[in-house]
Amino acid sequence: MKAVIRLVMTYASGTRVLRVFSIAGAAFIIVSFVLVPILPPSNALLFLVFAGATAFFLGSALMPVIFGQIARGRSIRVLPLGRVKLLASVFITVTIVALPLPLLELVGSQVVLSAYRQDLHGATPAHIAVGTAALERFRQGSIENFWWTLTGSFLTTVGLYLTLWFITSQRSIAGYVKGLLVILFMMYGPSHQLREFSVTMKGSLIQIGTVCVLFGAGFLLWPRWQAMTLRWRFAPQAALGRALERSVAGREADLVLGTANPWLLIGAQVVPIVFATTIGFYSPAVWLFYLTIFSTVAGAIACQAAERSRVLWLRGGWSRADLFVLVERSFWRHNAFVLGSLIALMVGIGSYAALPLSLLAAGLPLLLVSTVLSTYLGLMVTRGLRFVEGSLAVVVMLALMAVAIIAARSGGGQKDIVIVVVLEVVLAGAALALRSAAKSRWARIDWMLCRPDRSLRVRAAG
Amino acid sequence: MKNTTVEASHLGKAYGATRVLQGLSFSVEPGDVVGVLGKNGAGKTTLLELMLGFTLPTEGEVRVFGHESTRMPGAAKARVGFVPQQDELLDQLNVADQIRVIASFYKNWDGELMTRLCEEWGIRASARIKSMSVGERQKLSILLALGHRPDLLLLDEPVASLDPIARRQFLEQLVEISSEGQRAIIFSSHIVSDIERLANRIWILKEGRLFWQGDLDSLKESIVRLHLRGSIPLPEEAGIPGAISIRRDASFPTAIVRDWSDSAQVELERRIDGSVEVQPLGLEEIFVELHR
Repeated sequence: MKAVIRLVMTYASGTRVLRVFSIAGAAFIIVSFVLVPILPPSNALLFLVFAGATAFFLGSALMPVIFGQIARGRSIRVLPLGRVKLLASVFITVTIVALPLPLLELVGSQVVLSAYRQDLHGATPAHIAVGTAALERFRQGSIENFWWTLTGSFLTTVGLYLTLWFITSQRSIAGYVKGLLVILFMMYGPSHQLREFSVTMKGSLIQIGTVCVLFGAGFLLWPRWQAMTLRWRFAPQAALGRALERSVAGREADLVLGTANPWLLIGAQVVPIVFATTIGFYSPAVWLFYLTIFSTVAGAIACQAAERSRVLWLRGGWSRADLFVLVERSFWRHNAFVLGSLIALMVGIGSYAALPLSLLAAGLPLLLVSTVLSTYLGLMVTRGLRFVEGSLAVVVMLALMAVAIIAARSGGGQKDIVIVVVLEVVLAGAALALRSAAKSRWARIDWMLCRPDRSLRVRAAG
Repeated sequence: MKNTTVEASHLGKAYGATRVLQGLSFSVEPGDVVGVLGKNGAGKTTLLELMLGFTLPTEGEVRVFGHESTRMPGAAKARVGFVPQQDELLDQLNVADQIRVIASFYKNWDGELMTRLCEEWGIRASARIKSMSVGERQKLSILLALGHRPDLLLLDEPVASLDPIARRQFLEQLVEISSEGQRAIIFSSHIVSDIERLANRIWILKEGRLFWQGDLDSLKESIVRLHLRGSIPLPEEAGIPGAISIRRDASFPTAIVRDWSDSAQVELERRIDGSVEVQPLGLEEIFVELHR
């Protein structure tokens, strides 16, 4: 148990900032539970516990990375019950994030129920009979509500951590593909769940149990499975490698930069969206929101460009400025395909779902601006992802999402469209500023500090 | 009853059609310090991985503390320490937190030993791991494997990233640890002098087989170089018993032989009508000659 608690504490205290988030989150959760019996039930209390769980989630954002590092390492297999304890620490962390909101609702309901029961003292027998029946229905409803909220909360939390794990640990298109598939599952699973509103305790436990058992069994049996399937994996991998080689041959620089084959990323974006259309997401806000998020994946790929292009600079005859131009062109060739597919999707969905023309008019430039912004933000990363780049990424994402929501809610009004266009122009200006900053950084790039090999980079920094 | 730490019989590992290890049988007793020598790709890491149960053998079996290595229970794992070739430290943490994480898995973690070793090795508890040099990371990685005073310590190229001073400290520490109680140590290294200095048993891996296992003195006695000075040229099919290699590029031929005997020497001197000088070899020379 000591190891499990230590691991949970480690997840929640990776850096000073994250520690602040975790402590604040835990404090909010505790305070909200302390206040439930004292204050009348209100949205403010729910918001407090929700804020607490969200803050704790953000505070433990390193959990997937740390978990992934430990799980992939060999040392964990020598630690006594290492994988079991690691798995338990993950479930506890997920529970800390997922449980407070439904639990607070349940506790709040019980407090209200108890207050109503008090009111029944001294009432006539007829009133007591009617009141008791009503309270029993209320009690049943609150329990059903608990399981319903718990299922959605648990599955969403698991999904968010999984997405973080895939994207942060693999840092490749394959990682993004897996992350997007998890988002697809979340769109289909919990969202479906919330709209259906039909979950029972049994159904909830089955869903949560299935996720836990699948993940747990997969995790614990993974080393054995890997060892058993080692020989089977050689042939298909080699065949896949040959197929990919055929499709990317001829552009060595693109190959090094990871921009030679845009079709995998296009596939990763198209498939979830096509699936999502089948479950009936016709809200303009949702579409613009998701497509805008998808368009920022370009930035995630671009942030590895500097590290990867080191080998080009060492072997090629380019200056740092020439190299930036080469990399920029390579990314725009790649982005053109990906952006084209997103725009085609938006138009296709717009026609299929009869979305307002104003939304398309506002959305298409937003996708373009979003791709440009995130690409240049990624290209600014010449010494690893540090505080400045991380903060800029958060600001850019929030700004893009805000514009996407404003555009979706504009409803075609002339005044609203003008606001959206002005905001898009501002974002385009920001993109130009980021390009200038990226170009300037590339002109001064220090290849000792910008290298894919983590340990060598550390030594250079030391 | 003999208390064997590691025991393997007919152990082999293949990846597809490639046989990395084959027919390995050995045992390691408490108090043994085994140095594993082999060229790159000889199978040293695979051998250690098999002992740790990381991968399944394709033939034979290896038992650690009496348990099949792939099914070691928690209690047996708690008696094993392992230093991987590439450290698996968590960049996000500082040294103290990293030690706490690993310590939390063990009931018998020796915090005082850790504090003392950190001081001796110049590792600051407050240092962030991501800002440590490769050598410092390797030192920390080694310390983490020692904290629970394991009965079996496996080290995969542990000194590759260390400077000479740190290497010396590490070796001294290892000598100190190996002299405590009934501890067995198995370590692989390319630095032959370290193995020569520390190990009381040598394993030499060659082409997937355990070419030699035994103590250093026996190895030196067993493998020698012969200088052949005779009037009759050595034929193409020299027929020297136990010959590992024969070189004819000098004015007189030389041969590396195994298990050389007096009777064989008399016979060879008769055949070449001259004298045969026997030269003992150091471990490094033996290793190089074996792979020439």
